[in-house]
Amino acid sequence: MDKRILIIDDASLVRLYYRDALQRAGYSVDEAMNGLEALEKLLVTPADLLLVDINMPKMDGLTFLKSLRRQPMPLAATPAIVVSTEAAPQDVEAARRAGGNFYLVKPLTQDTLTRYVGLCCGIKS
Amino acid sequence: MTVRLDIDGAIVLEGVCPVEDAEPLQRLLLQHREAAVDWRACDAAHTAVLQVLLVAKPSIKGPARATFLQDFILPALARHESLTATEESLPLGDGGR
Amino acid sequence: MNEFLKQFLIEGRELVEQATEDLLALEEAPDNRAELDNVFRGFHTLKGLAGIVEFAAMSRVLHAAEDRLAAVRSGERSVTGELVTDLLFSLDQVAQWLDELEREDRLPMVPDAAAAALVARFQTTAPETPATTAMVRTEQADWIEGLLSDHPQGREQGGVAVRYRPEPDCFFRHIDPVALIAQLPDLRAIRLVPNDPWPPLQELDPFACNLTVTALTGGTLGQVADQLHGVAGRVEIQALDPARSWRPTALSPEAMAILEEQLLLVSDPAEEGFDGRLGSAGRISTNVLRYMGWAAEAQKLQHGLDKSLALGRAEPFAGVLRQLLSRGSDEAAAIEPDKLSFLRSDEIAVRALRVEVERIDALVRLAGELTVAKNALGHVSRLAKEGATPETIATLLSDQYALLDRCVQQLQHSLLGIRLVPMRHVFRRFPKLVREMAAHLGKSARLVTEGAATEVDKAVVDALSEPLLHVLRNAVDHGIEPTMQRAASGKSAVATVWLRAARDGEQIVVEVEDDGAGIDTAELRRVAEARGIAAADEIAAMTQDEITELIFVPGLSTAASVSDVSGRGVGMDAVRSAIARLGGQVEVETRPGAGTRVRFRVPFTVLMSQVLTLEAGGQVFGIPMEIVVETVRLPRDRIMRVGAAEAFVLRNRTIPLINLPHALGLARDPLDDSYAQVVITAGAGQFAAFEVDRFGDHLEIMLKPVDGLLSGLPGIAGTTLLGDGRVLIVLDIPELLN
Repeated sequence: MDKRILIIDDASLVRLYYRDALQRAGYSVDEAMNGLEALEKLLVTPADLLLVDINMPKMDGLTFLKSLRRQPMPLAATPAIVVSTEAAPQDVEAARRAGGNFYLVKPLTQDTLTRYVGLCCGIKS
Repeated sequence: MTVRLDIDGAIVLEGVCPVEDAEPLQRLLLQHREAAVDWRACDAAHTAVLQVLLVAKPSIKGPARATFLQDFILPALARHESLTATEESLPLGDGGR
Repeated sequence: MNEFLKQFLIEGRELVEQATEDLLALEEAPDNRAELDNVFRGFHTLKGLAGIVEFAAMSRVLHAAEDRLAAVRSGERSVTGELVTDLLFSLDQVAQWLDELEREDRLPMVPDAAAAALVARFQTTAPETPATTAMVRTEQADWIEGLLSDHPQGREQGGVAVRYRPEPDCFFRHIDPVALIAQLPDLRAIRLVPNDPWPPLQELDPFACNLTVTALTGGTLGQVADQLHGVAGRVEIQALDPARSWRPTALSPEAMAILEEQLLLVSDPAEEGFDGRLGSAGRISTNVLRYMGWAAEAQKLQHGLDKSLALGRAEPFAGVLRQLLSRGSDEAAAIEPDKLSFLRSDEIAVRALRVEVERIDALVRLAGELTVAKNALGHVSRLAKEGATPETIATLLSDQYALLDRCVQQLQHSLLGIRLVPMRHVFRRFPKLVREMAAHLGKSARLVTEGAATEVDKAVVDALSEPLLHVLRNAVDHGIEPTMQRAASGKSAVATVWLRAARDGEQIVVEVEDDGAGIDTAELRRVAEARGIAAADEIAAMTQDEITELIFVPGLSTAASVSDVSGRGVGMDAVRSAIARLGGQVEVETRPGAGTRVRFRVPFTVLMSQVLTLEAGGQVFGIPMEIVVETVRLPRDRIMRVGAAEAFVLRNRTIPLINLPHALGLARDPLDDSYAQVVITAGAGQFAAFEVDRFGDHLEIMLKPVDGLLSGLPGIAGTTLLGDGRVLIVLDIPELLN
């Protein structure tokens, strides 16, 4: 399968956890520790889906998303799922404002993760 | 009396036949092997009674007063007969089964 | 909510209930003209109500239903199982809309597509053009094939197939299997199949049931399930796929959620990055549709996306998406589960607890979170083995603990929430009942309910049903005066009975109030004196309130005649003990000539626990089942003395033995010199055994925590009231052991 997921989170445990689930489901996976690193990587290699954490040093998730959506097409149209510990309506709205396509609340089971990633990539595993 | 032998030699089921009727019905059918069962005045029959009919397979004098018996149970009785008949006709020890 | 809507809600609900009953009656007697008229009138009136409050969708649906009924009345169409199902479905939809009205305080906003779909049910439509997706076909089991070969029309008709295998001894439990099946709606075929080969007639045991009954009916899964719920554990039912109608898979809830979010995203007035948002929303949406097998729709959406990107606007992409979403929710509503297999009859009781889907979803999410926490802990332990620093471990552990703590709290909260049901479930049948009871007695009364939405533990709701009925009966029978009498005393001809429920802290307060004649305290005094309840001077000295309390004395009835509505006596003693068993109280207030109010105060939730009852020192106690390992009849020669204490060995374990009556300070009374009745308990990794006089039943009780006099005594976990009025003390074994 040729779908590529980029995990953007500063916690190595989280990145490991998601990578484990997604690789086993057949996706190719790359990681970035913050928004800045993510943008640098995306300018070189596009991704089919992003998993974006909110709280990161150097460039947080919302700032990253706003910046992403201002890039030239087709990079700007990269689908992005925000994964965050906060679940309040205002946080969901802020993510939407910034340009996030969907919102999942941590902690995320591997099962839920693969299910939503599958839906968003159009891949049934 | 909900189950009785009448003068003509038929076993009559009359009215609502409760579970207790199963035993007298069985006895009558054993004593009078050729008797027909007349259910023209029968409004309902407990499963136990129907069970006896299924095993004894007597000829039935109808139509039953109860449409349920006539429309649903009579065909089930008739079909049931042919089912057991078919099984009896299969040779025992048929490896093909 | 304005007055009109309030009235609409009340009347609407009553009409729906009435129409449902009438419809079911019509199904039983399709040729009954009067029933048909009743049903028609019901729908007609409901439609009228919808018109008044301008609820267009409801009007449309009911109008279509009315048209179909008109066709039946004129003889063009007949009453079929399918028509009844469709009509019931529309009534159910109306009921749901009414619920939504109550919740949201405004009329539901029904998408055009949803109303249209409902209307379409009542019109003969050609089968839907097949989508490019797989047909859902269920494999028919052998027994179903058998039925269909007897009744080939079943292949096109669809309906429900039933297989009922009663237990061999069912006749002894007053079960008539064929009769049960005979009552199913729209019966089409029956088969009687022996489980074991028949013996010859003389060897047949006529009272052992050797039959499996299979049947085809035109009813719905719901109807059949309801009809057979009493024997649910022995029944298998399966909906049949009629050859002509099938649907593509519905959009899953996750898919719907994602698509709805994309719609919100593109509708959001964004400052910059519009192309990016639109483009990403489009990509995700088309992916989701392809995942669900809606390939054609995905194409359509892609067209809309391309156009929108070119124009730099959300439309037409958003429009297509909106359309697809409403279709998606229709499909989801139209799909029925294709197989219901009852495993145990207690599962039916569980099913009867209608739980909102959101509560279940919340629990599913929680279960997921707990799994994650568990996995993370496993990870931490691996890190520890690999030699991570204590500080790292400590931080990670602390995080996981916080997570687990939150999860457990949420779990407890959610579970409690699930047991809560609105009082409406109890109130539902009462208005009609009151009217009928009154009419039967030649009186005129109506019931007004308040607080039907008050949420209460299901166990409490179930337990309140009987007592409330009792009290309502009393109100109509004894409290309310005949119409003439009311008119003569200047009261309204129609009496009113109020049924109110409200939450008051940890309690629920339920009241039944009437504007009748009140309790005749003078008469009560006379009867009490005549029955010798107390000495004449004591009775004379009692206050009005004290006299009123006398209605709780068993058998005391001041009714001049015992009507068949109430039966013997007032029954308030039974009501009081039922409420006391719940841990609640009953109060009565009355004003002569003006009315009576009966008030129940019950806890809004109860702790149910299982106890093993036992007798010790001549008294009955309970111990929680969760600590009981087993009960044994121990030969006394196996008891050893260990210093001042006793013990015995069981399966290589030495277990200390305590004499319970002795431990509780009660007289020791060995009933059997050779054997001791012993219960072995376990707690905190230790075993302890207690000798008792004898054992009783396992009970499920509502445990009331100790207060008052008992709270000072050690070793008592709580109390409950047994059916015979005795108090059962439940012991706290760990406390006793210390």
